[in-house]
Amino acid sequence: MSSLLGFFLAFVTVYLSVLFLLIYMENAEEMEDPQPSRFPSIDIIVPAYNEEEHIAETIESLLELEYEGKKRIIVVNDGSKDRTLAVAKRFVKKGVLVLDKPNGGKASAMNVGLKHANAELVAVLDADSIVAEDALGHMVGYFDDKRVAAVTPMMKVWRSSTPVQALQRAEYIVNSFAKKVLEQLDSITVTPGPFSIYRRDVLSKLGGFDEKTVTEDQEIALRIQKANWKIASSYGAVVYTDAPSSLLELYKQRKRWYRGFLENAWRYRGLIHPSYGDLGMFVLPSTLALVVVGIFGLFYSLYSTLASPFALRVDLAPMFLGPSELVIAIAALCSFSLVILAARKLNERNPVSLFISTAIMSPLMAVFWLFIILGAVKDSISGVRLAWKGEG
Amino acid sequence: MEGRGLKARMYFFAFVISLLLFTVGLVLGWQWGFSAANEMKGELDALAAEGSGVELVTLMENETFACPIYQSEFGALFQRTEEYGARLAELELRKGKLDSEVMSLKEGYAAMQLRNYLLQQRMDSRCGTESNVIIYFYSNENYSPETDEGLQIGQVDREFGAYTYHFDVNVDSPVVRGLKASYAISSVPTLIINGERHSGFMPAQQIREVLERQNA
Repeated sequence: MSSLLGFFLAFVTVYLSVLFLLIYMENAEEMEDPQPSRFPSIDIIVPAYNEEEHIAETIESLLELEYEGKKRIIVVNDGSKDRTLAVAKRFVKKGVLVLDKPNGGKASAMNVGLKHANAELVAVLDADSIVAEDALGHMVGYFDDKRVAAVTPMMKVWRSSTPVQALQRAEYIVNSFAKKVLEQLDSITVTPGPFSIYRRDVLSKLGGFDEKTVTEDQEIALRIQKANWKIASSYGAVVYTDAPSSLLELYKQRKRWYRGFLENAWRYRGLIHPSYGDLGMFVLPSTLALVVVGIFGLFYSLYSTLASPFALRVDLAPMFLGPSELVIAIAALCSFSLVILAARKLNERNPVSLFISTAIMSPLMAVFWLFIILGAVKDSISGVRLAWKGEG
Repeated sequence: MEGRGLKARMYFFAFVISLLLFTVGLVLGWQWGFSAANEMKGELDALAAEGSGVELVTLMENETFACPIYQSEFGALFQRTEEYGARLAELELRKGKLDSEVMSLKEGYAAMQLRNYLLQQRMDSRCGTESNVIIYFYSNENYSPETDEGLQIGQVDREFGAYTYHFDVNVDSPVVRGLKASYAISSVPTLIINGERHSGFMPAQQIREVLERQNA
């Protein structure tokens, strides 16, 4: 049973790697960021809650953005208990609009910012992230295509001062590359808080950000998909974000993400339909199927290990190079090719260290993942309110 | 917005390529499995030759010469046979219990085990040594780690310096048939602990209690 599951998961790994590589090869030229034909006006909304440590650096990075069009920064303080508001107000004289509101959650802060926005495009930036100077130039060209409603950036880990952050570095690179490939399938299902850009009229027409969900960035992406708009992803626009520094923080973050995933998957189950093409017929069904198989597989492995700890000795010390080892090696090789390609495309200098991080991160996350899912399901059932990332 | 497409051709090609890669992996893996079986055949021959050497020495009439050689050489021979058995079990796990090469190797291994056992019995009585001996009859049909008696014995035998001899009742060889008849084996697992017969699954603690009682 366990070897059958192992073969299945190895095959899925090989299949997804091959599929991503094929899609990349077929669309490599079209994946480059398009040159903008014009520079539409843009309002950048920065929702902030207890971000006195990061907010100044974030605003400074936005003021330094190179952009030929008109840009404005709107900071929305969501009832912070620290000096976030005071720090943000120091930038008013530099043209930054600072709004203050009672605490109501990130989505409500973004909606307040959206109400005050009047530019053609609206960007949202988490207050713990900084944007590379040339990011806007890489992103706005996608809006020349009238079907594009949102553009996401390439996210990288800002600081890797702890092993947990260092391990996430590789994950962010691979995920960003995967998002670029998913763009070719019209199947991006999240517009991340760190610097996604939207057409303001589309965002307003869709009703702004949902204030009830715990992952508003995923919910809005699915709503955009449901309304048959396109979401693009930029290679060159780099945004550095503060990744969780400890396992506990990581657990809280991922629990929130998976809870949002489960709730939104149910809410937008109608997207699993042939009329949504690759998204409806492949990406969403396979993601859900993998989650179910993953939960079953992890429970089964945990049960087998606890029921018979001595059996593990045999599995961990194979004495022969047999079919299982070979297919696992092939799966690892395929994943390795993907990581190397992602690292090359995203100008990472040391792809081998990235692969080692991925190799460490994957089994760690696999075990961790089961607890995250269980926590997410529990929170979802009990309806725990998570106002800002990880809180609650 | 225009209707969305489905890259069905791409999914199909990816599937075909993955299947090819996977098949190559499986075929190569099986090939390596075969060469491992051949390698193990050579090792079995070497082990048999080593066993014959020890056996010849112990045939010497004079205990003063034979016993020290037996005592220094037999433990190492037993250990190597055990290690060989563990590798054989691993090979069986990978190639399947019905694989003809595995069964052929197991026949040879059963013969090695019996010879070691008889050698030990003879020399223990000649040299006046008393060893704990467990003869274990098993079958890998309907195997599950939860009911693997071998894992239970493995937790106890070293504690008591016991020599364990494993026999798969499904191996079709005169050695196994003879032993099964000799101990009237009708079900598995069956353990003969220092001559005392125990049928059915025994947890490690129960085996420990038997050995403690016998050694008291």
